[in-house]
Formats: sequence, structure tokens, C-alpha cells
Amino acid sequence: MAIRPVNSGSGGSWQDASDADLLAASSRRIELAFAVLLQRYYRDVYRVVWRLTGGHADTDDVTQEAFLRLWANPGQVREAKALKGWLLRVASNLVMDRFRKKPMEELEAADEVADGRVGADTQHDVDYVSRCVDTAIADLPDRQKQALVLVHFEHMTNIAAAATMEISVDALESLLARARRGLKEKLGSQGQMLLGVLENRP
Amino acid sequence: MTGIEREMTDLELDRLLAATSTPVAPANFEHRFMQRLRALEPLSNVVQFPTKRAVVSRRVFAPWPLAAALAASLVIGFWMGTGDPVNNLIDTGLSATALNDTPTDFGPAGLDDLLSLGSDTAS
Repeated sequence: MAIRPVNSGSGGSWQDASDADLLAASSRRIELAFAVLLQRYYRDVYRVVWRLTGGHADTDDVTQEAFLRLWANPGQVREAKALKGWLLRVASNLVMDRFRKKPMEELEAADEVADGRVGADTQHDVDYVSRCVDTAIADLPDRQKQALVLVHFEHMTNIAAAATMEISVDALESLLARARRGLKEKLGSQGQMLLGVLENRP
Repeated sequence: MTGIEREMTDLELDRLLAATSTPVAPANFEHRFMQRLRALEPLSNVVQFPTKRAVVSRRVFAPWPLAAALAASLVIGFWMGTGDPVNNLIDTGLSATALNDTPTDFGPAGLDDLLSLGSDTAS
């Protein structure tokens, strides 16, 4: 991969640079180039971390940590086109590490929907449906959750998601199937009620 | 509610998944990250080991007495190697014997000497 300096001048000129050029510039400790990488991918990483943690307060910190890993050694990304996958993988591993030490019971959102009872005021609240589903997703085993998030929410192809998770496509499909089955079981009868909420919304 | 619980279909699950809200990153995320990045600079790949006092104490490993002893042995070696002082000590008796024409009587040295000594006294 040829490394050619795009521009070391003003920050605006980095906007059109390719990921490969930005990574190369980041290796030379050019903050402006790294800021453009951050701008391109932080939303994706944040979304995935948020889904994996069920909206935990540490989402922000874990997302930052993933980018700090990249800044510390941009050369770790062997192919620039796989940068997003690399970031998502690092962020997912960080989530697993952090919440292995800190049990999921601490999830802030979990308490709000733990008993599944619906108050009259929230009966038709779509946000409530969302929180219930998010909580059910957060309760899935780590790898199943990761597969579901990448494919269903990030709209990655099975091949791309499998590459991100460093597993075979067959293994990914198996994880997805188990995740869906697990979600159906977790939502159980509450799922029908949540569907009813969606149907009755104005 | 009918009270009959049936399993959710794939289509229904997809509807629920589609209804989830999309998380949005905080607006000032980039700014806060760059601040954190600058606070961490300069980054280094060198792993810093915790500072530790040397385990070897000066009492155990004292270089000056050892160096002095080595130097002294070197000087003595040269002094002995020049020849004269040690040779003089060793050769004093022999050289005196060589200069003297008369054989030196070292006393009886064996059975033959004792026998001859006995015959001399008898005669």
C-alpha cells in the first residue's frame, strides 16, 4: 500500500482523503487527519456499543477507548477498507471485557423494564417498546448479541459481519439464529403485548 | 388476551426490532475525545515498568575494594615477573654453593652415607 501524504495543511483538506491516507497521517501523529477518521466512524461505533451495553452510561467511554487504541497504533489496521470492522471489533471486545468485570445487572436501563408490567401512561409509548427490546437484546449472550447488532442494526452483510467477528459465515448464521430464538423466548408473552402497543399507536 | 401463549413469528420479531430507537452519539463527543487525546499525549509504545529500588545493595557489591585488590595483584604479578627479587630469594643458597669450590657437606643423606660414616669412625 503506497502511502502518499495528501496534505499536511489545514484540517478541511483532510475531509476528502481516503481512510488509508488518514491512517498513514495518523501514524505520523497528525491530529487533524485522525479527527476526520473520528468524525467518519464515531457514530457507528457509538451505536454498536450502545446496543451491546443496553445504553449503559459507559457507552461514551468505551467508544472513546476504541479510538484511543487506534490512535495509539494506527498500523494495527492492516487494510484501510476494514477500518470500520476493526473499530467495531475492538469496541465489542472492550464491552465484553468491561462487563465481564462489571455484571450486566448494573445496566441502567434494565431496572426500568425488568418486570414487564405496563403502566396506563406508557401503554402506547413506543419508547417503552424500544426499551423492552433493547433490554432483551442486552440480556443475550455476548456473541449472539454482537451478531444481531451487526446484521440487524448496522445492516452489515453476513460476510462483513463474520469478518468483523473473525468467525465463519456459518458460525455467524448460527449465532444469529440462536439470538433470534433467544429474543423470542425472552420477550415471550410480552412480545405480543409490545406488538399490540405498536399496532395501537396513533 | 386469550391466555394462549404462542411463539412470536420471525416477521413479528423483525417488527419489534425495527421499532427500537436508534441511539445518537452526544453532540460534543468529538470535542471531548480530542481533549482526552491531548491530555494523554505524548503517547508512547514503551511500557513503563514501575520504578523499583535496586535489589543489589552496595554492601554486597562494592566495586572499589575489588578493583583495588585486582590492581594490587597485577602490580605484584609484574614485580615478580621482572625476575630479580624472587630469583634472588630462591637462588641464594644454590649460587653460594656453586661459587664455593669445596663440596658442601649436607650431612648423611641415606643408608650408604650412614654405612660409610660408621666405617670412618671404626677406622
